[in-house]
Amino acid sequence: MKGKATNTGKNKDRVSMILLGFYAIFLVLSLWIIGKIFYVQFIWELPTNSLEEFIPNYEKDVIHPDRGDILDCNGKILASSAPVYELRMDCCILKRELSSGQKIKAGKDSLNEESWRKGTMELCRGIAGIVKKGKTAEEYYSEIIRHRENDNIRGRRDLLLISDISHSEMNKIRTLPFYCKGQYVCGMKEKKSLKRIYPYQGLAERVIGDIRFDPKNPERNRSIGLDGQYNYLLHGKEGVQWMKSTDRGKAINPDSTVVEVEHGQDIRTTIDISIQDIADKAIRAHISEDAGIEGACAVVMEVKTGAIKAMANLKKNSKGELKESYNMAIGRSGAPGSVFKTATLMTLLEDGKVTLDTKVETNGGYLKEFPDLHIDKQLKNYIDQTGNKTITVREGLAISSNNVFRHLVIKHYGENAETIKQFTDRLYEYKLDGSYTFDLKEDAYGTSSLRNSWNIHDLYSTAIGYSIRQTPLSILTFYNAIANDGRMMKPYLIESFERNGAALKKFKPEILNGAICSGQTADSLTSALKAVATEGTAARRMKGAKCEVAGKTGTAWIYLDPQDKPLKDKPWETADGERKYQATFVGFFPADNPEYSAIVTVYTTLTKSLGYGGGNQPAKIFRNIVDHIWALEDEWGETLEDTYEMPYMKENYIGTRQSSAPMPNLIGFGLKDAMYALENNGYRCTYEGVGHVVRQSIPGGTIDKKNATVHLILK
Amino acid sequence: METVKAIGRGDILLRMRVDKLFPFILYTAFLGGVSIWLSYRAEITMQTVESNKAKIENLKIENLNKTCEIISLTRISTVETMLEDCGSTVKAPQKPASKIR
Repeated sequence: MKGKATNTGKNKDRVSMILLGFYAIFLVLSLWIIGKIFYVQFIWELPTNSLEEFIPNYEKDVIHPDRGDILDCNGKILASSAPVYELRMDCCILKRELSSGQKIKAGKDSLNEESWRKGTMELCRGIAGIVKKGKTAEEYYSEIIRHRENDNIRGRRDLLLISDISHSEMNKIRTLPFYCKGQYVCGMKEKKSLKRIYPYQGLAERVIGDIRFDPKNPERNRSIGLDGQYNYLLHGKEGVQWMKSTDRGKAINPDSTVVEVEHGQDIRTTIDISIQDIADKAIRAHISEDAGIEGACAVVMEVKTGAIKAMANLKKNSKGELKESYNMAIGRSGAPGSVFKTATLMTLLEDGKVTLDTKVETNGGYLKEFPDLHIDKQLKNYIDQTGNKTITVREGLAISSNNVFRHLVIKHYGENAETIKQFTDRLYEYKLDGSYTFDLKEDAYGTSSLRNSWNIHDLYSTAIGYSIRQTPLSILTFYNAIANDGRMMKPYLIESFERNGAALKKFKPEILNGAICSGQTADSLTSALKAVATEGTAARRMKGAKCEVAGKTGTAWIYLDPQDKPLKDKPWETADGERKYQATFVGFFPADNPEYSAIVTVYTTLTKSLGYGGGNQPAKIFRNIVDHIWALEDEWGETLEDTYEMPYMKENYIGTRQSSAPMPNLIGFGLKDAMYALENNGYRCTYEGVGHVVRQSIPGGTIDKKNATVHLILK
Repeated sequence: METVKAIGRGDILLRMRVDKLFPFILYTAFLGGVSIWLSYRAEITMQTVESNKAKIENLKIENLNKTCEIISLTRISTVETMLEDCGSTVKAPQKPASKIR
């Protein structure tokens, strides 16, 4: 018993000795750790070159804001930004290693020079298959190999293979097997940049504008149009976040500060891209083939608000192609010519000096006050055709007689400085000097301006639109006021600033002058301008227009630049008798209840031809614009009554007709849907009532003869 | 001296009555473990967020490119040209659409 107890005691001693041994080891270990902590904390010094090893691997990530879009009045994108890529190649990648016979491990495979070239060839084939606009696979490959083999070629470590690769193309390239091996094996690097996209290509290009910032070539920097002018809004503000690298990639460090990115605002313009397209197309159709025309601009404005619906500016480049290279509508001012006669007439009517029926002596076509001046050809033609010794003011405007208006102004305002001032003060009231801001700026040839001091000779030329300068937009603003019963609206191009479809700031129509003339004067002017389009200088072009137009033609000589070598006494003419013309047609439509006003101005090159007048190309373009806008406007469409025989399209206009299609079941359909379904199946219909189809004369599912007519009853 | 002996004997913690705090020590250790696990989960979530962000960005760009492509086809003159190329006689409307009252 005692021996057993002794054995147990020995076992206990042995266990406690083992535990004590463990305890001693841990004790020593803990003392060592405490000592080490003490050493690191108070004695050891961190080597400066390995400092970064101990700093957490955070990196600053600048978040670039999305640039705002430019939209038309219906929210269609005119300009947006999307990334594009360029592919660059380090042609010498692994060259030294592979040429020395070394095998490089790339994933599961090992590479030698031959397999590298094979992989590169496959990659080139893949790229050429994805990016259609680029070179062939063989061309890419031979270029890479040429750079790889020739040590003397510069830039072989950064060869630009292809640029302007779209995002979807780049995504496909990223899936190519050799590309997946990474930059340090295949040698290809992608570089991302943001590019402005214009879905409507050149439409309203100058109005939309662009911004170019190239620090390497500052002379190429430019900032034009809305994109340039409102860059501060479109750009937004950069955000900052701190990223930490982890085994699984990068993630935001949740403990760091974050500066939220502020994306750029969208700009919704007043431009209606359909009307812009019409204006653009009309100009191209009428001037592209005419070598004597330098360019043209057209502006369409909404009468009630002053909103610009279209602003097309097409100018020929050195190759003769029409491009939106300069905004002539707001940047090119010149003598308006005869379109200014309306301003003269407005003043005469407002001051009660004349009515439209006031008769003026024709004086054989000469100006009574200055008989030595050259004859007025329009007036002479009028005399020859009618034999009249007098002409009414309305007829004078219709034929655009210079001497009628010169005579009236000199007679009523030429007496002394006070009467001259009375006339010129009126012109300032009409804001003809363009003294208002506009949403867009252009490097101007000259702004609209009126003289500071006036004499009788100024009156003589101002009466017919010389001695002053006006941009097409300022002329249009004046005519728009006539269409708007004398209320002059400020032209504007920006409807709102938006973000994610919500308007942050809205712009409302602004009135420049509540009444530049009385309603009666506006009516008289409209009547006179209608006469221009029906029996005057624009009658030939406006005859048969889809809706009645009131407008005025104008042709002015352009003062020549010194490089054109003008004559000293005639600065608008060369020694060869060549001149440059600015021909304009401005007006509004429909004349009696105007919705839109528009101006078309055509600029010629030096020419001897007399065929460039406001009643010619500009009136043709204007007519084209009117006819097409009219067709677009639902408001001007015919209204169908409750019971109506439906108008049908000609047979060849219906593309989806099936001769033996069964009659669709139309019960419950609205009339529009019912008509669509019927016509697509080759049937015709008559209907009565309003609402939804409750009965159809041919039941659904019946196969009837082609063009069978089904009668629908709607309730 | 007693403390040194206690360290030598291995019952220093018992002498200090730390055994009473044992549940709290365990609880603190548990909290530490939970904290580490949560940080790990948070990191994974942040990475998922980042990868989703990249996917959304990718889809946004695809959407924008497609939208622009489609928008460019809505231009009336483009439609007219395409119809012409197809040999169709359909033209742009020559008069406004009739309205049903």
